[in-house]
Amino acid sequence: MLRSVFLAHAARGALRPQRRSGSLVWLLPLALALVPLSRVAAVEGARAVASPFGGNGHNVSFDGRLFIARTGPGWMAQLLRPERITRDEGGFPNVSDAFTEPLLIQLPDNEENALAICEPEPMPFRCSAAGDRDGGGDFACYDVWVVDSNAVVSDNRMRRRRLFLQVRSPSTRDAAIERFEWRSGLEYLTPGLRGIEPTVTRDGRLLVYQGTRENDGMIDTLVYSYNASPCSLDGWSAPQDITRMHEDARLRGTYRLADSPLRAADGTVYTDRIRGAYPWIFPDGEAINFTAAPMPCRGIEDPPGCGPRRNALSVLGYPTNWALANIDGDVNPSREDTVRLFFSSPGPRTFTEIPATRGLDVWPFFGSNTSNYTELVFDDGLDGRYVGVWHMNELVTPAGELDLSRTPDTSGFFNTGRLVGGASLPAANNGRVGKAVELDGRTGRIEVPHAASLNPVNQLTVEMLVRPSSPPDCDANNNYRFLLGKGELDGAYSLVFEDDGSFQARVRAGGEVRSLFSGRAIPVGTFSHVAFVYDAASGTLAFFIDGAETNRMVFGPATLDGNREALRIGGPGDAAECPDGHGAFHGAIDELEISNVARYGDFAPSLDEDAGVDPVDGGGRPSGRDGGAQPGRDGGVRRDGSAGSDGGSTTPPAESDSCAAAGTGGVAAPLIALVTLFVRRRRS
Amino acid sequence: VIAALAIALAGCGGGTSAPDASSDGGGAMIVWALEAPGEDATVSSLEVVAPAMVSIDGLEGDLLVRLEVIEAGADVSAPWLVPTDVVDGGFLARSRVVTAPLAPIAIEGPPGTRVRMNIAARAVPPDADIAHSLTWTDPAVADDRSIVGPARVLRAFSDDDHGGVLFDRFLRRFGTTPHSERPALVELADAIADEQGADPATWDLDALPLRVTAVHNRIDLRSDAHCGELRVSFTVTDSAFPFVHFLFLFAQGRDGDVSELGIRHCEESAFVWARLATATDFVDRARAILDETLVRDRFLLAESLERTVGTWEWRQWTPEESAEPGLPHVLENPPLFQTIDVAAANVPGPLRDDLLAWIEANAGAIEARTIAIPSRFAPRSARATEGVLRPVLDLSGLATPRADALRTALDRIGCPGCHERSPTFVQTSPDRVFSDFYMDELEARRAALDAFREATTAPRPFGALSD
Repeated sequence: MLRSVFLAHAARGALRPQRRSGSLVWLLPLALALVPLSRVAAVEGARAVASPFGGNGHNVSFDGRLFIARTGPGWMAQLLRPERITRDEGGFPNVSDAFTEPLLIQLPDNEENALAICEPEPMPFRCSAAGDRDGGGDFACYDVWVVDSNAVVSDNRMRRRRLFLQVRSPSTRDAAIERFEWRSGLEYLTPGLRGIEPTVTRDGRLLVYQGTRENDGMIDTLVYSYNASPCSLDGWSAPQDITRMHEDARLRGTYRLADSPLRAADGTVYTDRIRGAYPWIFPDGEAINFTAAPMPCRGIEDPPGCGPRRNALSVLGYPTNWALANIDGDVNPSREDTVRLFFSSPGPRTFTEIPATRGLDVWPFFGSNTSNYTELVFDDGLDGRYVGVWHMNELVTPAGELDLSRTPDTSGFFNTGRLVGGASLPAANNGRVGKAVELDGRTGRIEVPHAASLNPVNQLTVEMLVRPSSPPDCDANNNYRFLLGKGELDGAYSLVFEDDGSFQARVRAGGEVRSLFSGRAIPVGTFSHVAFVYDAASGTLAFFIDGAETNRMVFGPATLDGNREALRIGGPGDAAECPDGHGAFHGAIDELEISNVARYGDFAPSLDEDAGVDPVDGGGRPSGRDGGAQPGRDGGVRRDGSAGSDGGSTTPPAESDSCAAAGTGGVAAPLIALVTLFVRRRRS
Repeated sequence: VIAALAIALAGCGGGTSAPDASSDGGGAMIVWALEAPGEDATVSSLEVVAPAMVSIDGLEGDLLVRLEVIEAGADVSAPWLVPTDVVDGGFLARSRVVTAPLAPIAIEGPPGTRVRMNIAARAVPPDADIAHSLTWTDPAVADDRSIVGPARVLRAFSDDDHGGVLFDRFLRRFGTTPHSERPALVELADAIADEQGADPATWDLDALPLRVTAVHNRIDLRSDAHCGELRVSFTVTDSAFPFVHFLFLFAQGRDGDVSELGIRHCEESAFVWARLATATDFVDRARAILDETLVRDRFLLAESLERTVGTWEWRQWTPEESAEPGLPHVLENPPLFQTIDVAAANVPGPLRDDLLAWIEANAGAIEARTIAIPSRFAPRSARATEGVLRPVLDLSGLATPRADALRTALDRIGCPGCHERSPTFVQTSPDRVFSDFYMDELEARRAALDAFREATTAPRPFGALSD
């Protein structure tokens, strides 16, 4: 009951009383069992796979190799040996043999739990067997300060102690901890900082933790303290909300997290506090990840660890356009059934072995309580050419609650979608990637207000994953379903799910509506990737299903007209279950992306699972990593940022001879024939 | 002694077409009497007939002296006289520090040859400083909208003596450029319209969410056309658009920056900037410089640097004639100066072949950073994503063994290359704090400004001075 009371406070936005964060130590086996191992490629939250690294509060050294985590016996040190990381059959990292056995380095005499590893200088240094600095030594030595607080019986005061740890065979697959020693006792930071779950930047100066700006021992908000002297005992600034970082001249220009006001997922600028727990700040202060919403309790310890803010693992910082992004993927498997707490990363370019997922900016992450490994892809916010990316997951409100009536746009334009009628986000992940919106085929839809960003002019790509729950063809009438439209079917652009299971895309350009049929149907009950692309310079409209071009028409060159209508997704409004035209879509939609660039057929890796990771024999850098965000010469880009293979042509790929005005054709014709209905009775 | 006393004219000016005094020559010593100069130059002209000796009178101590000689066949020399620019019809000896009294000037040659000399002598300017001679962030200037506010700058870049219509069109153009659409700038225009009304001709431009981050002296970019640039940088202060910067570039130049022989030495401008380092009336002098420079005829181009969403994008915008109602000129987005479209160039094909051939043919000039990159290789914008490594120009297949050096040189001659050397892509922060790279660059520019006292004419390579 006590925890339920705490939850009620949190739900109302009150500060939570001091509470130990170590209560989940024993959740580990359960968490392991609950981590789904579904195949999820990219787009913000990648797959999550099991990892042998586990525990409660933990952190990682800035060379990415030394992990210290609290388990039942106390603080355990482990080495990550990326040299032992292999790839699974899908090309995703297999980290099952990547860690050394845990070594107990500290009994929980003082309720040791969450910690920060503070390095006054870059660690480790080469050392001799005796532990002395020796550039030619065979050992690596860490001489660091471990910062923590007693979250159970004290007043949460931050403290530090000095740890010396020696590694033999460093940076090899045989690396192992040789020895360790504590070189100081507990020392309390001054002025006193009261909070829990510290995390510190590489330079040892910026400490972020869960506490309050009042420094009163309460928690549930994210605050920071700065010290010009790295890892120092004295001189820490009074805690302040991380929402004020952009106003702090000591931080601006040094830590990218402080470069801009921070925003909630709907674009609202945070002006007061950010509710959050289990923070981990990216090494150079670029961003922060934390759990952003409470996990509701159905009953006592149901689900285990429920009550506190252990839901909606999110990222906030430069890769998310300084807005909270609730990760859509396996690391947020359910908003009702499993908690999640501590995650940290060895860094995006520290090792060649991880990450494996292709993308502009991909970070590998280890979760301790959940004993999992994942790779977060930030292309949605960094690409710069998406004008809307709806992962179709829950929106975290500025107050730190899950809003099931809205779904965020993570493109950076904050074109937040509002779920209307029979549109819903299930509790557990149901999408091809994380969550998908379920639409009832009658009233369900998502509405996005008009914004200038939603009116591309020269190029347009609309793509999404759709999973019809039932065939649209329900009677003798034309039962087409409105899948997406900015305005009506003759509006700026639209997509219809025809009653034969195919599609029709329309754009308004040069004052006329230009239409193209997909030429191919999709099956019911499984996700299919559908996309249409318009290029104004050539007047080409092309359709793609599961990455293959299925039809294309060339109209005269004309820019898109745009309009000021709202964007509707999944339905035109209330509609009959079996409509005589203009019905609503029955099924699920996931990963809707609208771009102001033509992404000709190159929808990997974000939506093509098999192409989402480097080859198993990789080991080199992911191919997209160096691609940057440079545009192709024709303005079209591939997902990895490289130029198209057309060698700088200003036209789309050559038109296939078999692409008739409204027919099937193109290179995928044989495949298309398997699923295309040969008699099209009705068209929208 | 036949003396023809020259009437010295104190004050600014130069390049006068009529001499202040003249002599019939005859080999006699001519005294060219000048008024003692102060901060402002003493400028005088003298016309003599060879052969002759000219003694300059009235100067004392260390001075900065520039002398131009217009002659046809005569030899004009003095121990302290070092020609820096020799052209048909004469030469210019740019300003350098000399100690008066000066040795006489010998004029030799066929008898009767007429020689005309223009002198500018002044007290040696102080060492330039960054805070006054190179950049202005002093709130007394940067925050005074009557000196350098948005209304003033935008009025100077437009044809209608207001600038609102052109600025609105400028923002909206970001959303329609075919190579890259940046609709957030359109949304900024919409936000301003919501605030100030739909007609940008009526906008109070000083109420725009723009803050001057600095005024920058780029006299180091002097060319045959002007004496470098004066740049005003702005940041957008609307928190919905946190990473939007604009720069407006105006041509510098003052009376006397071009000699009678047509040599653009830019010294008058340079010494005005240098003297700001010790000026007690800095704000008044800054205002005077801006009064002279922020005018329509001097507007060169605008630049934009924004990370509205995801990626940084850097562009240049030049005035182009337009048929749009009320807009004789609009700003369009040409290929970037001195920038290679790396993504396109790395793709096998005619463009890449063309580029590699051009590099092969011009390797020496590229490495010396003295050649302009043809616009056919340039993108219309440069993009950079924080946290993402920049693509590297692939020079494989190049026959020269110095591919790495060439790649570095090509990368460093363009503006994007410099901007990307700052972790934040921005050299002047909204707080008016300069990046480390820019501070290095300012030090180099300061030295370059001081070098005006040393008759320096070395051609400036493209790219950063500090490299």
